[in-house]
Amino acid sequence: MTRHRLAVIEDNPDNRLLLQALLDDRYDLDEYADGPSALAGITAAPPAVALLDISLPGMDGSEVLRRIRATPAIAKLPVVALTAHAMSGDRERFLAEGFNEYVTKPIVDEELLFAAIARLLPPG
Amino acid sequence: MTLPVLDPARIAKLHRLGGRELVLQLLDSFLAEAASRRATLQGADVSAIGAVAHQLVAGAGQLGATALSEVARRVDEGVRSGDATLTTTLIPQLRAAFDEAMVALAGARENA
Repeated sequence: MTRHRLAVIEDNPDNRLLLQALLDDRYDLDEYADGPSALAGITAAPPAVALLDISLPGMDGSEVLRRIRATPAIAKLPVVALTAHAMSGDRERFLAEGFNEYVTKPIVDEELLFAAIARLLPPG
Repeated sequence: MTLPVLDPARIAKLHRLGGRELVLQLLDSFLAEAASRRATLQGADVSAIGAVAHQLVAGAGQLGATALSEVARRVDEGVRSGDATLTTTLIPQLRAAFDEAMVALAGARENA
């Protein structure tokens, strides 16, 4: 079975560590701590799916997504919003911005994250 | 319903995921931030308090500090929506929940 590559874009090292612990026996992970390095890395080597934190310092996750969608080579990359923003309406807002899935932090039930990723991976 | 100060099932789960090493790293890192976060919570800069609250939603939640995570969520939302009870009620609740959680997490660190 092919191992898919995921991009994890998250500034908090502890959150990256937790995502690693959850994901690295299923996927190959490319980790980025900020938007500009993620855009450069994703463009050079597009992953199957990107997990994108919203509250990044400097360029926030919504801006990173806008730039992904504006870059032809990666415009269709499936992107999961990963955020502690969980007010009512947030989910709709992020999906309207063009995120493909929305997963709230803390990740208490990792099955929700696995399911969101699985829905975005190519079939087979 | 009262949420637990510390839900031991979360740390047990982290232990299964990444062993004692992951638990210690996450606890130590969270505890190392405690003094500067507590100082921010005591201050008058509401947007800085909102930023700390936002970090605490996930940071406290993933360590099982469930009550703190929930109060932090209300403060984060309150800062964004301009809740009138922010300074009178919500932020004092956040300080109290923070102090309780840090004692519990320091205890968990001792026993990890």
